[in-house]
Amino acid sequence: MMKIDMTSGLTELADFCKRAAAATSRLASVRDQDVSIAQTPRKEVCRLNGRALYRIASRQPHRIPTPVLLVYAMVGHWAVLDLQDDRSFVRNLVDAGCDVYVLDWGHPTPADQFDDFGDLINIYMDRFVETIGEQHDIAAINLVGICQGGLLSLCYTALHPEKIRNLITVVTPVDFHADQEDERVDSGFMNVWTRKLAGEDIDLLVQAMGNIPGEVGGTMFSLMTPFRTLAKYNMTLVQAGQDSDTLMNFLRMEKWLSDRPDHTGASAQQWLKELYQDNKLVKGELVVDGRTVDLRAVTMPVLNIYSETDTIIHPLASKAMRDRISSTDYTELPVTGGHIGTLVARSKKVRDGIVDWLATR
Amino acid sequence: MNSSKHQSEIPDYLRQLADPWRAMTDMWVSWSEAIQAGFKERGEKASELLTRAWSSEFWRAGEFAPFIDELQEVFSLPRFADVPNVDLSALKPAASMLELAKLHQQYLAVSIPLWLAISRRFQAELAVREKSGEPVKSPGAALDLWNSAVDGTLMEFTRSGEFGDIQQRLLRAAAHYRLQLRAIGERSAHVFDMPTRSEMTDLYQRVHDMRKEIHQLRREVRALRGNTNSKLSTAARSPQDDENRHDVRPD
Repeated sequence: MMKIDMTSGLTELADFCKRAAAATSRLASVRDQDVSIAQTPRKEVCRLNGRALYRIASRQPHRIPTPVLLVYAMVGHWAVLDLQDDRSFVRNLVDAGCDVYVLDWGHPTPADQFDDFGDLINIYMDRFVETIGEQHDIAAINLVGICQGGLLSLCYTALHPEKIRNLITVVTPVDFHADQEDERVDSGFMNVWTRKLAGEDIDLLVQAMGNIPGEVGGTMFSLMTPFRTLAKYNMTLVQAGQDSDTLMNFLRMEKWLSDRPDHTGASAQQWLKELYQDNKLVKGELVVDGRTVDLRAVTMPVLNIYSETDTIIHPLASKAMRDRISSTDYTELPVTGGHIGTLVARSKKVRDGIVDWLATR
Repeated sequence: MNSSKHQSEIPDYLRQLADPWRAMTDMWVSWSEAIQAGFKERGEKASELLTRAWSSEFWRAGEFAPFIDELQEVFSLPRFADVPNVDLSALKPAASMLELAKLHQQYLAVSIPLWLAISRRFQAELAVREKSGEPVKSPGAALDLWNSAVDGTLMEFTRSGEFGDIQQRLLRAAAHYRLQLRAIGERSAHVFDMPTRSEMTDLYQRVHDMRKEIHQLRREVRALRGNTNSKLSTAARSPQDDENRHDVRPD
């Protein structure tokens, strides 16, 4: 039988109420316009059907002469790569001497619902890679793909190897069934959930929705960590509200989370059916615009960054790349932290890992 | 000849009584045959549907929208030019909504044992702490332990087959509901002479195919010009594509 000391209980309750009041007081002084993300100055270089290519402004000398294109996932907005000054993946790379471009998938509209991997890879990515090549008068660039963007980058590299000098993937799934080799209750929820659906369910969802609303992805992520979701606006917010910096950090993340772009229907069908369900990429059966994606065509240097504690992309799903590509210069960089934590960490480990690796190639 | 002779032998008053009787009998035989034909063609399926509708399992399982489809299929008739078509589709959104409500009930039904499981887990963890000589003394520690029990149990549940099954049915019901609402919207759009979602989707598909074709043609033109990275490749692009090139102020 649990025996609770009532005096300490009352003290804890009073302390919690005091903390809640402090958090409320700080929250009361913040307006939406005070919460800014993606603040690093940038210039729009090219725009095509709502997709944009930005060049991040830099006054630093370029230690890495070949420009770097960052490709983030379509399931979230790229702004998470530039969350705040001291937690900016983009700014970190710029400060370390990279000439950084960012691909913005924008907010797909119903008119984009038929855009499949072929369009994303062979029209938009290819156009932006060529634009960067033309601007710098070079034939090949450095490509950094993150999460789903990593998968698209890997496919792009396999289909257009001559245009990529070095490929870097960050928390990128390659083998979508690898989680079954090491089942963890806190990892690979999306894989388990998607495999429980029939292919027709996904077709029905796309037929009914056109594009997959960003809220669907948001719900999935909430279900993945149910308690964190339940506790977010009470315990976590009270904790975050104890100092202004932590509160603003929390609110910036909330702002990013609240802006989930829709996912184009046709590419969502491929993503969920052909990859999550049928695992076609590692089987060598993924076909993009009539061409089979052959990962053996990836022969250039590859740096694969993954997190051992990633709850969304199982580390084995990322590490599976090693045996599928033909590159003789393949490096793995394991990091700690969650899927998004890897991108918004204050630690410079990822940045240094990328820049030091690129500097020698 | 014999029969006419025989007929002529029947008294008139009897024939006067027999003729209407025979006419009535023929009519009932015709209707009986019609009913028989109806039963033969649709009766078996209709009785199967009615039996299903009376089953408690049917109401428990939901999936009412496909049931309406089957019902409509069983009782459908050829289309007539000047007779309004019997359309049960107006019932479908209600059926889909009923399905969604049913699924919410099922969520509640599974959540009760779930909270019992969480409580048992919490109790077990308390007992373990007690045995190991580290009993929980403060409400804060008890809350942490409770939260940990909630977290673990919910994560296990969201990966279970039971949850997967309800999620799948929820997804199907929500999709069906949305499609039914779209059908209503399309009928209204016709009334107000506005483009329907189906027409727009068809248009999007055509635009997409044209974009792809233009991209392919551009590639071919560039390949013909021989130098992918030359200035000519830039010239081959339509200036309208790059809508704006400008400095972006941070949001």
